[in-house]
Amino acid sequence: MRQLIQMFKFDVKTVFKSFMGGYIAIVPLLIIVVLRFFLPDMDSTTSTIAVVTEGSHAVRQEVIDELESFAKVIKYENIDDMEQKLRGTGSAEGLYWDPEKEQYVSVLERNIKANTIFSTGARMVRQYYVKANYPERTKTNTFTYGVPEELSDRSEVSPVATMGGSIYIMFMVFIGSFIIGLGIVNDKELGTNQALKITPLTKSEYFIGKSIFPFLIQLFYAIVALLILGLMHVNILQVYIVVLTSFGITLFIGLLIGALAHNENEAIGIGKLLGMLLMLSILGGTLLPDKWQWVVYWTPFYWVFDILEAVFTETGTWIDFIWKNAVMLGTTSLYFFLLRKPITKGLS
Amino acid sequence: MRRIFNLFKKDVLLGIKDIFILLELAFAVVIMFMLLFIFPKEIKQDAMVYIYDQTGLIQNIIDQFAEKADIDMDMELFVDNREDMIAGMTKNKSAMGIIISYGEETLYETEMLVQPYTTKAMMKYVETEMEDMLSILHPPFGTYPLEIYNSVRITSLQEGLRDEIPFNKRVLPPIIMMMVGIIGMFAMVSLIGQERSDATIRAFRVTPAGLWGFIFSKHLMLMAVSIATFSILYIPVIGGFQGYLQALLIIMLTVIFGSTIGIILGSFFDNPMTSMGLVVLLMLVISLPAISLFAPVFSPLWLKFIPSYYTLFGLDAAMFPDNNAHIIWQSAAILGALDLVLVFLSAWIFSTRIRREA
Repeated sequence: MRQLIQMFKFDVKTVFKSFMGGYIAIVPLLIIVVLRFFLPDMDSTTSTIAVVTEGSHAVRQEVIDELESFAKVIKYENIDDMEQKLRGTGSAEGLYWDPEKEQYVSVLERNIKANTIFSTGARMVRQYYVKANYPERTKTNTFTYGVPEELSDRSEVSPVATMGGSIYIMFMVFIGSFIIGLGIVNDKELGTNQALKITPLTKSEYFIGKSIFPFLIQLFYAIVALLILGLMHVNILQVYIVVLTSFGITLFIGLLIGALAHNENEAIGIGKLLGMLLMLSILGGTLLPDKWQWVVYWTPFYWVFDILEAVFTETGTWIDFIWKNAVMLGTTSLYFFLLRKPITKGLS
Repeated sequence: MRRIFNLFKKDVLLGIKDIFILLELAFAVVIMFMLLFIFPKEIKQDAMVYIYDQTGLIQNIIDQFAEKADIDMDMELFVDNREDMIAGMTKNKSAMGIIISYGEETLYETEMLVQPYTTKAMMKYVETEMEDMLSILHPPFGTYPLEIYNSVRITSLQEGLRDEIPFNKRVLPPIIMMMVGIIGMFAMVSLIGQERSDATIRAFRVTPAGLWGFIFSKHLMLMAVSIATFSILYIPVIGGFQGYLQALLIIMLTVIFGSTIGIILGSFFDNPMTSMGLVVLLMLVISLPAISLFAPVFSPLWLKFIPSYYTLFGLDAAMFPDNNAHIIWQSAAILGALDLVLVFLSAWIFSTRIRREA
């Protein structure tokens, strides 16, 4: 135990000596602040309408006010600028006033011939026209809304925040791997690993000692993520269990980087490629419909994402939580088993 | 020229010796096979809105419309009861439900079932949509006075809907960007770190090639590796050379962008390990525009200040041509201008820092 603590202290000292410690403290914080920064934009978007607000083609302010109650309105001086927005990236509709025909024109990026009526802008204009010219007309529809009883126990936090939190913790798993892997490679390059051979420190104590710092970092930033993303109401015990079980992935990738790379060059190259697994898992987990998600079942990162999503949205049961953690650990162990020879050889 | 070529040869040989180039190529092959044989081509997205139409009005109209316009509108959005709707909403965390029935005080009543996190803006949007749609569709001629239809007309910039792009091709732009585009950010940091630890950088200062030659050959090497990995991913997945040159132009400009950032980071950090945190942060920021690519309605202005925005949309426009060629050239111009500044800036920072170190 004493050796372990010494190894941990040595590791922390090395890390802080090379300014790495400062970066480890600041960079994940910056990442989470970036995430927090773009969440409101994601949440508030339903559609984007580009309107002309100057000259004879200007849309009336009352119509713009109505549009702003549910859409993001971008104002342009003339029709050309507005159409330029529609031709560009992103998705938007346009709206302007035609003074000759005395009617509004709703411009779509694409449309089929058969549709001459339906667009967000056209809907809004018609309802504005009814309100302005037929104030006594009764509405056609009575609209009510509410959360069904069956879903009332769900969290009020938007899926964007929950997804952001899951992706962030996955990134921390990856950063932890880099810290372990690059630490081992650094020791290899400086010959520290040779020097350690003549100390009472055993191999396992060396690797465990190297893992304590990234593990503490992951634990710390998991709680920071919950705080900043407004997820403190979730089951924190479950979050910490996931951090603990996903540390298996951190350890596996860290050891793999440390074993395969002979210098930092190679370590970064291997790390970058393994980062693609993380990216594929995020793409699969967020874009693939449920019935296609088996495509990414093979990557343990996918399971971290899936479990955290369930924990953050409070939709999973303990049974689901346990078996998914078991699958995550199982797949990681399988990779450990399959690659045990190169790992052992590279680390010895 | 010969000196640069010799330096380039040396960098390629070192890259192969360090297995960096071999790993990039091998991984590109693995990802290419995954995209071709594992990732699905056709996927049907889960419904976002479930409709339980007790009046049968909407279902009939949609069927008629689909038949008239000759389009497939089998969206699996209609359910037969409230329970199925709740089951769908339970499974799909973003889904909502709409129950349409005949009303007592008004012609229709619509109950919208929402998730606890559904925004007020979304509810207002659906309310407006339902009022308008039912006012138009109510048989036989709707409930709007006829003149209301003259208050607005619809035009479009292009006719017809965009062809459905297979899923495995749709995910190619972000994969190419992360796998090929930002190769330089990682590689330059480690290449410079390696040369620094071997003290070869100092030697370069007194060689005829100089530090500019040193950087130029590294740019060349990374571009050569990028062309190879890009081609491995692009040609088989897209199924030919459609848009190849335009996409290659965009990705090369991105590689240069990533490499210059790598040079700047490599200049400031003695050890590649210390800059990795920053590289991972940049990686995250660079991936943000991918959200806009898959959810085009999310397109805030600040996203356009991230250079990868132009990479992603430029690649997308090159791969899937759709009257959007201007996006390719616009993206190339922006990335090109940025590269021009960064190439000189990074080289200046690098040579200044290295001289100081000496």
